[in-house]
Amino acid sequence: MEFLIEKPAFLKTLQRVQGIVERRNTMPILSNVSLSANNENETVDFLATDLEVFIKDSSKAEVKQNGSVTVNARKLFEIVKELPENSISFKADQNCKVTVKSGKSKFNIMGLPTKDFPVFPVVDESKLEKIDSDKLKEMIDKTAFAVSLDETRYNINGFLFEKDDLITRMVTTDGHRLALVEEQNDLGIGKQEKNSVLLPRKGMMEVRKLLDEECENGFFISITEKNASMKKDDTVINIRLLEGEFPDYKKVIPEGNDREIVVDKNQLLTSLKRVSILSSDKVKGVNFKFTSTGLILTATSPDIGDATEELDIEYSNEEIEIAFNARYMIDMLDAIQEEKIKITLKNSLSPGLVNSESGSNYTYIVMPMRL
Amino acid sequence: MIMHVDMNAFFASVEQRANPALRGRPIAVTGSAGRTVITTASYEARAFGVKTGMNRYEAKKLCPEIIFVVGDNRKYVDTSIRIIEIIKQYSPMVEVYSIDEAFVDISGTRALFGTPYDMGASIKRGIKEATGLVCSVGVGPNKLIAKLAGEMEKPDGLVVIEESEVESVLKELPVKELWGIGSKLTKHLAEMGVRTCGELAAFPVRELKRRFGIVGEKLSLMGRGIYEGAVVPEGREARAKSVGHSTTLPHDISDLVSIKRYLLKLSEMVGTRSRRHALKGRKVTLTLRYSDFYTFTRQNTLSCHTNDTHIVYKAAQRILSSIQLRSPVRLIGVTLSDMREDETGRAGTGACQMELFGESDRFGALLEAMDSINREYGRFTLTWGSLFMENEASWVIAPSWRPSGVRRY
Repeated sequence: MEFLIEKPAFLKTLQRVQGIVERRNTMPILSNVSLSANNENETVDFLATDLEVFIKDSSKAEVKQNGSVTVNARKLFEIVKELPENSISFKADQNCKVTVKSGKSKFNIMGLPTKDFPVFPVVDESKLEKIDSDKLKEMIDKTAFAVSLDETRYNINGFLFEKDDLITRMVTTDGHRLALVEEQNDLGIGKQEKNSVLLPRKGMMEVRKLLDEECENGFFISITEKNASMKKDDTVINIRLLEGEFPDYKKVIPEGNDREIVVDKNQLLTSLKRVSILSSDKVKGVNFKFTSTGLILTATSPDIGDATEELDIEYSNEEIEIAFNARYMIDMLDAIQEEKIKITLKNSLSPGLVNSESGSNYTYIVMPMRL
Repeated sequence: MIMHVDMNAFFASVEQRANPALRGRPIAVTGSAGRTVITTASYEARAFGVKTGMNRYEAKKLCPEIIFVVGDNRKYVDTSIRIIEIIKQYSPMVEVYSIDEAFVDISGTRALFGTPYDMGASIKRGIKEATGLVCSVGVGPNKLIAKLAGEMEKPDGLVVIEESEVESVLKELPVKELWGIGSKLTKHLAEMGVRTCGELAAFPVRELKRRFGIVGEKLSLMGRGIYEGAVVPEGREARAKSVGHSTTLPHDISDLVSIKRYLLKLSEMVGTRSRRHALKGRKVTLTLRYSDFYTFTRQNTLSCHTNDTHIVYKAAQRILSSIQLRSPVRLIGVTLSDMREDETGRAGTGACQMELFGESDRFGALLEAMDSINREYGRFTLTWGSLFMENEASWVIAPSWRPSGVRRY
């Protein structure tokens, strides 16, 4: 195969696909990106996968000879990034020896044949539906931080995405906190096979990156028994759904939290960031004391010292003291847009509930700490 | 002066005392499982080359007349406690190093008990009268030399090395005879041309430090017979660094369900013991040994300190699930470390993040109830359902076991 390609287009596509590439190196070919050149439509197709997430993209190129090869994605990306000239020539021979040339630079790298590369799952184009990408983006942003990173708890390593007649919902948890966002409309997706799926974190983070880019024709999604596919222009991401049962989130939404506090979001965020500097390093515990005259935040680090800060709040009930991991509060406050938030509590050992003051579509539940 | 008392072939000797038919015969004490290893061989068996750690087959090959005796931990513990009581009559500064070994600080006891030699002889007599067992006693200016002196005559030895004799004793002594210098270190030292303690003492400290780091300095001192470690009497030890249990399986298994059952049992033993001593740990280590004896460990650090059986079990299980077993498993071990004292005295709780879906609080109360029942009626009287079907496997006593302190069941 042989093609000529412009550096910016090559780099952009490589950057996008190399995020997927398997880093743990269980199968050498998974470190590679597969490239196939086609002179009919003058494009090069790119494929990368870690067997959980598949990404397909394509780029315009001047194709001189059809063919395909796979080559180490990371190295190819590094090379292309540093090449001096705008025009790049890419060539692969029968033995998968790849030659990349630009200006006076020449790189030879060994590739592997595409016949050994995993096959991209078939995406049924007719099932693709256009989704409100801004809403999807917002839902991801308000929940992504609470996804569990503990790989052994695979049933919470992703986003619960479900819809019923009226509501589309996204829920994440790490076992200590839970974020839930609901959209009243169906975001445009109505005829999908499954109404409740678990979307893995890694794949969704790639989708999230894609959502940030300019989009000409809209963002399409399709959900089948085992996979979710997302399509934007030439880019297709196929995600294998997580298997397992997401915990029953409805059960942990607290009821009867009768202490209601309203506080300015930015004030709370900046105060917490300051005070938590002196919370002990492993568990970022900060004590919250809500009184009718204000909220007092304190953090103590036995070896270093302590910090206190007072904030104005709207609260008229009895004094209540509770400790939270500051990180859990900061993550949430960073992710939401609201000016004021409402915190409702029951007692110092029961979960705290956070909503926006206007009582919109966002619910955040966080378990306290025993200090 | 420091005295080292080492019971000779302890487990085997106890068995020979208890059963006259075994006296003078080659015997080996083993665990109760079919594939256990030898924990102690009598001197009669040692003459044939039978050693601790061999399996029955190997021992039988070396010594066809060998008699295997299944170890009875209770007997050893009782005997050990009686011996320690005797030693304590001579000095309050007794460090029980293991079930059959103790260090005694005898500085300042001369006026009461005479020379170290006389005192050693007196202790040996006392132990022999009370238990019928013989021991090797070594005396030296510090623990290192005392231990060395104790090793010099076995069985039934009594050796005193005075401070002035240390240099000449060490001069030609191979380094591997020193306490704490194992085969690996010996090999490294040999590569550097160091074979005897005399050579070690003469070797430039700078070089040793470069090669072995902080240990290098200690090695150089050891070569000159200098050792700083004091005798630490009971109750003044540093807090236990870890609580762990391991077991060799009755037969190799690769079935995950069975492996997990052992994990649960080991976790329960670790949990119970930690709770009994009001300790909580944060690091869970899983040890696995494959059928080819390849042994490895994997760790998992928890978000907070615990001694909850179930949390330990779940962590061990998580580690297990991250491992691709390449062959059947022969030995499993679970260890809890990074310990601290449990300020609440209750299982499962303490200063930490509460769980959203967890039931740790209810579990804490459950474990407390289980512990109190098992304390009253014996281990595993009340236990987890999945352990119920299992035949009692052998739980071999660990060599570092002590008759008191955290390791006591």
